[in-house]
Amino acid sequence: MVPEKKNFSHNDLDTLRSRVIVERDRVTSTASTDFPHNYPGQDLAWDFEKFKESFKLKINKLSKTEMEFDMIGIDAAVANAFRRILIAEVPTMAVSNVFIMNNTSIVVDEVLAHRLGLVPILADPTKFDFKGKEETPTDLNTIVFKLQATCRRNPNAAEGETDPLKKYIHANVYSGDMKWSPQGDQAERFKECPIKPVFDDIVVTKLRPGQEVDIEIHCEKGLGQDHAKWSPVATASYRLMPEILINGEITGEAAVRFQKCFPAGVVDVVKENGVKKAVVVNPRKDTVSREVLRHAEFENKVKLTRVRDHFIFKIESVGAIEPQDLFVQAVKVLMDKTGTVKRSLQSTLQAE
Amino acid sequence: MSTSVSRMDEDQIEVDTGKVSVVPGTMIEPQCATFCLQDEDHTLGNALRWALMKNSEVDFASYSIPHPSEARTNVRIQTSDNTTAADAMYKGLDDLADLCDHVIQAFQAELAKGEFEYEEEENAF
Repeated sequence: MVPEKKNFSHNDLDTLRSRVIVERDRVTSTASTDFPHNYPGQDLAWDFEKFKESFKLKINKLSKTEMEFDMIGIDAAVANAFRRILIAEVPTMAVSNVFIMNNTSIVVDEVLAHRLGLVPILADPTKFDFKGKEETPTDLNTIVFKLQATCRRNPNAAEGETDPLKKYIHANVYSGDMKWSPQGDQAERFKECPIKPVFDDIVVTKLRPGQEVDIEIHCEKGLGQDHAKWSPVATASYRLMPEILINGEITGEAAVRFQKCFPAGVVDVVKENGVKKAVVVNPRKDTVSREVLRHAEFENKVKLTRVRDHFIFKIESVGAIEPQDLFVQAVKVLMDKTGTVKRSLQSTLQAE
Repeated sequence: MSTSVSRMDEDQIEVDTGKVSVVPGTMIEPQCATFCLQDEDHTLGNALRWALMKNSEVDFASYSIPHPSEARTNVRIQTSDNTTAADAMYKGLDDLADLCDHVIQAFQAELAKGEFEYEEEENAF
């Protein structure tokens, strides 16, 4: 467990073990060193009970598409595995085959197909199988959409109208024009939440009177590592908790100047016996711009660090899967990996 | 430690035998080996390396991706005489699974508590 509050003078083992040190033009003490045999008299071997005690998870914000939480007491190797899996290895459904019967729009076939590919699809991927290369499409591995639109003049448009959206009917083709065509028992299986694009207002192509698109779209289950269209997140990222340590006190007008080195809300200037004094109130809001380290007057008065095992994790979902489900699925993917590798190694060694 | 798969496990789960192999010539004695993981990258490689290094019987553990256009990861393990490279691998994988299990439980407990800001309306769109 990380020692709580540190005082300034620390250049000791505790700091080097638990903090990344941010200097004016470099960072030091970046790698984790909490391994057995590294520090005399300290065990540091994996201990599940100890981990359970020290691990903390706190959710800060949650919405339909975004979530932020703190994960404390875990190594970067594992936190990064979660992040990488969120981006590349949690399956979703995405357009993979586009059959163009007719496309007389200005957008050429291959560009149109690519645009359709990037439209996020609202469907539960756990209810579908992966479709193998040689496998034929079935209701268990494929979602079918029809996209049909023909543009014509709007008879009710005012004379001299110049806005194409008013002058013509179907001047824009939107993702919302993709109509789900249920296969097999899909209509029954998904009657609770009918399959559709996550957003209805993505412009796919534009038409003028007489032009039309007639397209059949097949969606398959896939992974972000094969193509970004299957990634369930816009991004998933983390940053380490910043920490600002003040040596002694910063008082008077210097306190105000000190405050201005940080984003609003990080440092407060309080009055103590009529004297202004700088107090760090919310280091989380700090961007660690290191502005304060450029000022000669604060040299040896301030130290910036980051807590090495305190991750501020952010998940920005594309909208098909809610962020809280995404995280659980990501951790399960890592857990499944360990099982797969273990069983495979066992059978490999048995065969030898 | 037994390395056999129970009959039930075999029936339930299809074992991908090509997933893990021992790199030829690297297992001179049971205490050292380089395992090759097919279709794995830094995601499992680095996490597993960390779990292996957390074992006090492991003298050396590291991973590498020999070539960027080949989807395979090598994991090198050297252990003390008290265990073997394979057993260290099993322990590392099990420890990682325990950790994941606890993270899920902690996450779901925190979610159930509901002590966080929930934004119903999405301002992004």
